Amino acid sequence: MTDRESSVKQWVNDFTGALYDRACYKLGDDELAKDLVQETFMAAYENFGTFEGRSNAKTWLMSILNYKIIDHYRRQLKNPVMSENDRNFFDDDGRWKIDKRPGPWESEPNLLDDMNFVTALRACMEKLPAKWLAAIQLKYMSGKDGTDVCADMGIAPANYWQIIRRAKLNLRECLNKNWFKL
Amino acid sequence: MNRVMDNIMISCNSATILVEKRLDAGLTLSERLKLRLHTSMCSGCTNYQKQSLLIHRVWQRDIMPPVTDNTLVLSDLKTTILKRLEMFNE
Repeated sequence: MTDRESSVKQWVNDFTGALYDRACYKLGDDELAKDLVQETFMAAYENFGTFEGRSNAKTWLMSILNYKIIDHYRRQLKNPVMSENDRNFFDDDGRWKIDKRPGPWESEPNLLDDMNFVTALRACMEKLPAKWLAAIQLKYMSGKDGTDVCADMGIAPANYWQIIRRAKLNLRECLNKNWFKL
Repeated sequence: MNRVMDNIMISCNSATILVEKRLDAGLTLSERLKLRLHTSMCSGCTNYQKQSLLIHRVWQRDIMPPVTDNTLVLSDLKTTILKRLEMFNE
């Protein structure tokens, strides 16, 4: 067995767990996480030559994984999904368009504990573009604030709150139609 | 006086962004005042703020890191990876 083979096999045994945990954390998708961890080891094997002389295999593997995660998000950015953008909600003066102005939701304080409402919200979330869901999951799973999420995803900080707003505006529309029946 | 007014009065577009910024990273004193002034006069944004907070609370409660026993998953994953590495040499 070559040095390359024995080293990488050892890394698989030692580091798969840590890499998989990190990938799950950053992607919110365990199947995708498994794929990217595999790709990480394949890349490490192919590029073993560039590792020679470095000390920390785990750090090197993590950096390959990080690159693949960012690359995944960048590819998603290139495939925008059709959905109502901000201009559909606000007019040129930045005011709510008449038909988009949020009205009150009945029994608002109790909705949090209404499992039917939560189910309806989850169903609406599935209709959102993957990139928005990724931004939401990344933030709420990691407890980081928007600026860290942006660094992880390779987007500008100002865009993060716009993505969240866009997501919530679309969720409101979906809930208005399907839950509140407006 | 007009310039001061222009600076204090923000649009609904700006207000809703501040609502999200507040939930995420917090607002400066100036931003807080502007938002509060705006929502005191705008029912649409007042409702948006309440509903945004509601959705935020659902997400906080529901979106959690997976707390599962990974042993089997990891064992399968390692086997898969080792097999693929073997195929590299064929």
